[in-house]
Amino acid sequence: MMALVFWFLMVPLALIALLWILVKIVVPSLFFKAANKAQTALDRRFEEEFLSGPVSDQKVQRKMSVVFWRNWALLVFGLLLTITPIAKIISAGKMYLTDFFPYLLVGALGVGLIVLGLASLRRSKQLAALIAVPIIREIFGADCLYDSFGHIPDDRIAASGLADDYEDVSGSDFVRGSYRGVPVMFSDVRLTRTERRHDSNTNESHDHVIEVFRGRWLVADFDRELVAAPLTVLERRSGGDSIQMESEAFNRQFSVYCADAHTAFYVLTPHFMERLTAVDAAADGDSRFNFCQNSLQIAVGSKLDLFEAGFFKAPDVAAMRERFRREIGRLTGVLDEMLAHERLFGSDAERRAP
Amino acid sequence: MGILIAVGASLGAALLVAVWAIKVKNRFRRLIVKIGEGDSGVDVALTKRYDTLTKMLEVCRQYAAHEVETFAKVIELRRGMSMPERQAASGQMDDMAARLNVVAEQYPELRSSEVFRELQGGIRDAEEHLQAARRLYNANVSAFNQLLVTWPYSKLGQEFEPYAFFEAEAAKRADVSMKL
Repeated sequence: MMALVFWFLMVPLALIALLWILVKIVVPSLFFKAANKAQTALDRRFEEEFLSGPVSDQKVQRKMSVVFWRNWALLVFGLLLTITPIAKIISAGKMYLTDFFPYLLVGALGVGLIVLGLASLRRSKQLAALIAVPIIREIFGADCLYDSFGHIPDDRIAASGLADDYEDVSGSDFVRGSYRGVPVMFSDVRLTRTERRHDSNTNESHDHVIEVFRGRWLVADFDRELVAAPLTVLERRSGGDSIQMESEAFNRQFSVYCADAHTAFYVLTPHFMERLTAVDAAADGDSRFNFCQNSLQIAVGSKLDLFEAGFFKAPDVAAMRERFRREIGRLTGVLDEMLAHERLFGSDAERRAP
Repeated sequence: MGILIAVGASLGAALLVAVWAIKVKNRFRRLIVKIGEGDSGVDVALTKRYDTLTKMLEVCRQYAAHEVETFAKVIELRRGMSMPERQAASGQMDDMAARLNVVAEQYPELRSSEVFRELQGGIRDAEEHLQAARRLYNANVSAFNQLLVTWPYSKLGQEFEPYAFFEAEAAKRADVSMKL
């Protein structure tokens, strides 16, 4: 009896416990420790090579091309290694565990390569930041603060009224500096909400993440009150008590909301409306503007992060530099237009010319 | 049965037409209220500009009494002025502002006076407010007048008259000519 209990209860339990410790503790700690160590070493080498001092464009271009093709090779090769054993197992029908094991190993290797490829995308973003940060310092001041993981504070986004129905805020590449004497904050922002949807076919419910907004966000804090009542300019939407401006083209593109119509007409001069229309056209029709007390907030939708190098096209440093300038210029162009309206937005202190 | 259906359909159609007519009438009335608001905005901006100009005239008088003597009592601004009358008053204010600036050019002390410069800033601010008020008023007038001439709204708007626009002065509307 004791022998039975030992072999059929105690031994299996001990094996299960051992397996659990192996899978949950030993393998992850060994694997992740090694992976972390390797990653740290690679990061240190990258920092020494690229972040410790000025780097030539040619060197950045070369590194970006290497990273781009390496990422693609890892992803394609990883995908092939993952799909091939799956196809083999499906086509083989009945298989013994010993036959199955090599395929499992190959598949795991494939998944590993895909993970490595995805993790390596971080490097191309770091390289893109290497090009963009000098441009940012040139535009927003040499002493501007840059945080690659930061974003516009949640409370400022919430106060703007430029996006509703969102739950989570994430973002990257936060910049705090000044533009022509006006303190500004700038970052990529992604606003999402989670919806629970029911599938009537499978009778199961799943959470879906809905992207409400993704793009650039700029906050400019002026040293005087801009508007008597909050003024919001959003993409054209039906319903609501929006103000009709005199420009039919502007009304087709935007809806203007303000408790005081005179304020809307005072701020939105014909020239300023033209500028907003141009910004909107360049952003494929997703730009939003809010004037409240002493601040202006601009949100311009974009499918690509500012410092993203692009996934399908081999990187070109000169073209990327041009794109960064163009995209930041779209937002600062609105500020230029405002600062030209001296009585409303100009500071008592003398501002520098652009 | 057939007659009942026909009567029911006719009543339903008549009800729909009545609801539509009420909505259109209310739209006309809402626009009239908005025009009234724009109209009072024009009044406020004109009054502000008039007051600032009057103060400016007083300051100028301290430095150049003789030159500005003839400027006084030229502009008449009162309640209930029609839009063309207000346009005329606005034009007179433009003339006066230009003439005061000419006087200031002849008197450096006046030009450099802090009060005078503040008033100049005030006039520019008042002019921008007047522009905004004019555009708001005209946008509402345009929406109303367009509705008034568009069929079938024109049939329900026969009791209303089109409103006059507050137009920019002829000098500002004219093409810019440049002689080199």
